[in-house]
Amino acid sequence: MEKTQKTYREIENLSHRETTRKERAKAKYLSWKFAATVFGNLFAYVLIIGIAFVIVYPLLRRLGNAFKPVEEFYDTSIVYFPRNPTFEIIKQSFQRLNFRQVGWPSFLMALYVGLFQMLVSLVVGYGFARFKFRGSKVLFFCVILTLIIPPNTILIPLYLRFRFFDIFGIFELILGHSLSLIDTYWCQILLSALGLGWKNGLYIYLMRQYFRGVPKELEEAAYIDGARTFKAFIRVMVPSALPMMLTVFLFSFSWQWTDTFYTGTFLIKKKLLATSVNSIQHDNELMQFNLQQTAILIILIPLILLFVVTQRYFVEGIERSGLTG
Amino acid sequence: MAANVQKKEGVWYKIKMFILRALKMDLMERRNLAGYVFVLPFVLGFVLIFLPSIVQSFRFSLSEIIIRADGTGYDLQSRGFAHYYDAFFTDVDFRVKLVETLRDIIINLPVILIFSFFMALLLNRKKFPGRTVFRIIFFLPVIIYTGIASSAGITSGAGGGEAAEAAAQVFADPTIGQEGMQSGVTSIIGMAMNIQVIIQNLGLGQTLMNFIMLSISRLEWIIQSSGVQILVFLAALQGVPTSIFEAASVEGLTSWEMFWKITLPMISPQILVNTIYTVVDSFTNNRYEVLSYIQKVSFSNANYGLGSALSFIYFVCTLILIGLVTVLISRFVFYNE
Repeated sequence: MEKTQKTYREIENLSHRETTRKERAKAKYLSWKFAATVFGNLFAYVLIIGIAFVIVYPLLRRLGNAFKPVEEFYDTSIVYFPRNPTFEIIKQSFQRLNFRQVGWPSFLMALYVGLFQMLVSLVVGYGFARFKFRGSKVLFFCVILTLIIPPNTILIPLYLRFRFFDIFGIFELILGHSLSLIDTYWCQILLSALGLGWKNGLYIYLMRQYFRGVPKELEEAAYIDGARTFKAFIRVMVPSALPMMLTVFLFSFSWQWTDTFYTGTFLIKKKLLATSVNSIQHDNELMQFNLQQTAILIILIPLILLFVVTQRYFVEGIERSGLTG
Repeated sequence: MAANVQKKEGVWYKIKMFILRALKMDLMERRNLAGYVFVLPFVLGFVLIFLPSIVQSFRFSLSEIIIRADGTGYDLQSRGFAHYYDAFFTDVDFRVKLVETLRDIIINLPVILIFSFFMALLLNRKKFPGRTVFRIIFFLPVIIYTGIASSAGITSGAGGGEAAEAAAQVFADPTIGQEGMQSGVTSIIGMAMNIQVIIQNLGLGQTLMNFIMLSISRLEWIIQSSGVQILVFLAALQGVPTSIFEAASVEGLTSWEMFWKITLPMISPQILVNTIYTVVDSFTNNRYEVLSYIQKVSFSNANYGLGSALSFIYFVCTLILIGLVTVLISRFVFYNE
């Protein structure tokens, strides 16, 4: 009681007293709190900038080297900024990468795989998030299992399965022999459409978490309005999941774009961008290395641009997923 | 009368009753059946492709594969558990590499978790100019490095071989050219060396110092493999309702107390998620020696039987570690429901 009265009197006094600007500035900037804020900000900035540099560093190095003329590779004093910049290396690696012929198929492949992985994880993730059917927990454990088992373990059996592809002997019956899907897009498209593509388990998991965060009332309202389960899913749930769908699409598009694992296994004669990096050969070893690095840069640049354009939705998708354990 | 009773127990009667019961299910139960339709694509893929492949791989691990000379296929010759015996008692490298990899993963796990949590805290601050730019940069590894760094290379064998491995190597190595590589490596190592000297003079224990040194030399690796984790933590931090913090500051908690009493418990489910993700991710990451060793055995040395046996042993280790970590961490997880 006494205390409150005292503070009240103090406030009254203060308002009567004339505080100079100097005094106010002193109170603000010479306090421990202000010093702590400044120090904290400085610390945070140094840390963030330092780590950001470590992340960007390899890209910067590649970018610097891409414009160097051949002689300057031997000069260690030149790191980022070439003295006589040329487009020679870029032009050469562009040609050797066979970008004009290979670029479009690579794009199509990444697009198909991205779309199929997005759709399948959307549907399956919704199934796991909203329905409590018998065996759903076991099945979800299977999803996690596909994520845990290193893909190398099943690589050879997968290869054999697609080399001698058959569904219950139907093709054997009609054509007299099994199909070989090697060197076609079908291997990866089939894998993605069945939820077994590269890191597909992760996408299913993300989608499930996302749908669990969407309030149930949304669908219940649709049910009351007379919508059936599938109609409610398409009309209500899919639009609400758009940011997450975009996130999953971006993930799978860019991981397919740079993938060498499945692509190298299933497309042997046909090369896509990522797998043709190593077919770049040159007599000079250093030159070959630089051509390859520049080729990698050429492959990565569209992805980075795509990411910069879409990053707002991308981060939003992840942030809204809430990801509760 | 008797005929009637018999009819009731017949197969058709049972089916009829089942359908009737299904029709009589309440609305939610019937709706839940639709779940099967939704997860059908995955179930098909799992049953038709994934499971048979695993079984086949396991059969390979129990036998010797003899490829026919005329190129028409291969024959399996049963070896029993000989490959598994070899893996532990004959193969000199495997045991060492397995233990090294497990040790590395266990060392990296807390470092990645703490690092990504710290970065998420930093990126989560409000009123911080350049936040968008830094966010883009911090998520770049998710897009760029995760895909390629974890794209395990295979040498020859099934197909497009060497390219893959070499590409993985090239991507894993950030420096360019022989010359560039040297200067780049020396600068980073030079930095680490200085820090080593500093830490040595701090008079910490040898073990602790080794741990810190290992962490520093892995800095880059850790930064590149914690993109997803930063995202998940950031999402979690944004999900903590601000009203709790307001209430706490009214109660007079300092921000230090708020961190331990509110932030940490609120995001503990995501700590579990991230832990599991990190373990899974590192086990399938080609940078750890054991995976590339398995690839070498199965593809370069063309001993696929032994290779499968090794990868099954590796897989069992993964499961055990994930189980342990889950049991340990889920004791501290707090669900705010």
